[in-house]
Amino acid sequence: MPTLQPFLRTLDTALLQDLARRAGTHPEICDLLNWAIIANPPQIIRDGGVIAPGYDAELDELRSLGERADQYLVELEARERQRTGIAHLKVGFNRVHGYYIEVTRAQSQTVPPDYHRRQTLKGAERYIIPELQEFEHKVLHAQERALAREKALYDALLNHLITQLPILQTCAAALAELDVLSNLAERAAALNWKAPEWVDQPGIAITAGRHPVVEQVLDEPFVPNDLQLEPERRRMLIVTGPNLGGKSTFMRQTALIVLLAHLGSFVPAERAVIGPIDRIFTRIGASDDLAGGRSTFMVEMSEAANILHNATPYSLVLIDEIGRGTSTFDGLALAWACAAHLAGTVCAFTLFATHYFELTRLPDEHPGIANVHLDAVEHGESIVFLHRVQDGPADRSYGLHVAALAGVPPVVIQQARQRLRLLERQMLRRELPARSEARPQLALFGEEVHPAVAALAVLDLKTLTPQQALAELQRLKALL
Amino acid sequence: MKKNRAPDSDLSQHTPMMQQYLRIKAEHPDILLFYRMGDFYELFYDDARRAAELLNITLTTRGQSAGAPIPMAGVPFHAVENYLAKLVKLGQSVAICEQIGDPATSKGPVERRVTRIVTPGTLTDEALLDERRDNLLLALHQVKNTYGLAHLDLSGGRFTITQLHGEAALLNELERLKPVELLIGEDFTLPDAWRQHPGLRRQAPWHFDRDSATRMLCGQFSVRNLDGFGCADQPVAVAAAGCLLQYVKNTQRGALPHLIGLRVERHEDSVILDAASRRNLELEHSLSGQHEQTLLGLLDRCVTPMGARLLRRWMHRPLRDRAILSQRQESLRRLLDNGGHDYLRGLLRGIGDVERILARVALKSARPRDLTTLAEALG
Repeated sequence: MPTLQPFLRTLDTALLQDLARRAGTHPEICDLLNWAIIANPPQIIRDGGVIAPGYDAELDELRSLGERADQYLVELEARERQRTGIAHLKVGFNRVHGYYIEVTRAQSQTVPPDYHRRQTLKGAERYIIPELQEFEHKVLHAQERALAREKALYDALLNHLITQLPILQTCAAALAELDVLSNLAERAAALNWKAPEWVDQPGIAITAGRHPVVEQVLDEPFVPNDLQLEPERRRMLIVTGPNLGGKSTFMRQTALIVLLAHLGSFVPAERAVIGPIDRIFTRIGASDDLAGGRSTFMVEMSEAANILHNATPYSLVLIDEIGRGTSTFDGLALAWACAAHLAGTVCAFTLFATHYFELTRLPDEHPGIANVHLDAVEHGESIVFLHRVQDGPADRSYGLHVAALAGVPPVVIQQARQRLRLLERQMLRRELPARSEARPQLALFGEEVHPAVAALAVLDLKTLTPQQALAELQRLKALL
Repeated sequence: MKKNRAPDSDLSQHTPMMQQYLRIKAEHPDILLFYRMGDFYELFYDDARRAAELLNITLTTRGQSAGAPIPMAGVPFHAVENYLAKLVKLGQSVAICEQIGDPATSKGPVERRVTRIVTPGTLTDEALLDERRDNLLLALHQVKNTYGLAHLDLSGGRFTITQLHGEAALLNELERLKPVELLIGEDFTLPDAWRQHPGLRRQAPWHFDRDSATRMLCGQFSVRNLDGFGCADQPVAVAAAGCLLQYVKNTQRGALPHLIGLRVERHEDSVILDAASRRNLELEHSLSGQHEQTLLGLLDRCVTPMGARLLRRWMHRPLRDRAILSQRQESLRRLLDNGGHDYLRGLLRGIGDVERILARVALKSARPRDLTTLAEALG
């Protein structure tokens, strides 16, 4: 504390000065305690030995009675040896019988008449004499009184401290806050975090943001990402991209940066400009609430309902894969409606990750919504996730890509591809009959398998003779 | 079962000692009663069965009283703290009944009295507490759709109230505070997730009476009214605070001089995170279960336990007041100049848990080493 105060005086911010004032110095209390309590006291007060010598005259007096006892007993022993002529006479003490004078059995015949037998042992007799009895009474009584005195002194000390409680509690709170602030400073330096900036206009702009925890556990370098949310054009971002591509990390890091900023901490980003935020909502992942007896879908929907009811234009909402727990069409319809409502009516700042590629058309209908995506590329035999957030929707074929790279047989991939197109065509007819041909995404949906490609796919080259192969080639050319 | 359950009315058939036991037990019907007999704390009847199951100790019988053997289980007095630790972890409360009189001079059973009640939410003993998190007792009162909450960290002396609307907000707040013990009215219906909480204590309706709550709180804080604490618009929470204070006074059996005021937490002052978000963002529990892989695990390098607890409170209650946030940022910047933060951390290291020591001083349970630690911290 004496070193703390001068150091704190050099830190000229209003908060640190205030904390220095609240911490204060407490030399009187400190001196009192150091005076009253011995160094390294026993665990509990029950057996005494806690109050330091010199603190209380009465206690010292009572204690010295006990200490002087040793000296007295040595003297008594010498005196009695002389009086009785028994050279091996000993004065001792035990817990049950108290003080005694011990002589051997053989010598017990020669003890004076004022020796009263106290205890008989195998080879010895123990006696008490009136003088020793009186001494015993005084000593034991003194110890009892010393203990009682100590407890009373300890109690009085606590009572005195209690009168000082308010300032001591204020001091403790200030020390705790100094600890937290220096801890946050240490973290900022060690983890390369930067101070966020506050602005009054709504929105969040993050440059090179990182996920603080993932960044630490990752073996390879973490790929930082930018984020721009603003009320007019980018109130909601539809986040698409492959699983494991980093969608969840990107969304969570946004929430964590905003949260850290609101503790007064620095944040894992090159720059973070943050407008007013009132709430953070997340709907991420899905787990069955087995204990509560609710299905995944039920949990998902009640979380969604909570968000739709309570989010405001100042809320940050993260939604990851809503509508998964039900059939595709139900799920897609619900996801679409939730996103549209959040962007159009609630007007919350929202990151909306989805595997429903159809949602990437939302920006066409709602000016406040934009697409971003995370990509993966093939690299030799494997797939590499780039973890980089870019504008625009993801390449939609990543699922089949990943499956192929994972070693799913080509014939299955081919079937899946055909089935996918069929499903999409059906859905277009049933669900979205009014869609205009002019939409750019439509080309993706309308793409048919060329008959030549289909024929090529089912061709088994291993069983063909060169002549048959030539014939097939001609047939294929005819299909073009 | 029925046969050797303690009869509740006619005590006269029992032995004198069992009469004394049953009289004391009647004052603590819902919690375990540790009844001191020489070197043991004994439990009888249903308490014995419950303790045998919870503590994995032997259930036996002791003689006969009222014509039936008495089920009994016991723990040695020198090991009682270990058993108490186990029981409070399970959400149980325990009344400790000591021998007050002198056995040598007593006629009949020696005089006994309940000297303390150990409950999960009112612990202050260092050995029974997690040093890096608050141990909270919470009282909950409802008037229509308004919920009044009062929570107390007895070992830190923080007494806080808040008022909320709607069950969703209530659930968020319970998830945020995670109280280990919960006081609610007899007819209160808790959200599903909290109904099986082991630290649930039902209280009679009059415990939540607003007028007597106000009187009791004014008495505790030595003030004429509660206006100074800014809780004039928090009547439901004040009723909850009254219930809480009464409960703590009853369990501590002594003065609570370190509770010197109420603080009001307003919902709209903080950035609100719902329960799901706290989980999803892995603030202090990761899906993999590793503490290092949580935000708090990364953030907390505090050198004192009280700092660690404060940081955790900050994380769970992010503030919207930018004046405060900017001041903290400014201080961080200043501390980062010339490595001042490292020097400060060096000074604070080993300063100990002054906050909890002060609570034990207030409750007069401070041990000698608490006082030497305090002296070192202040010196």
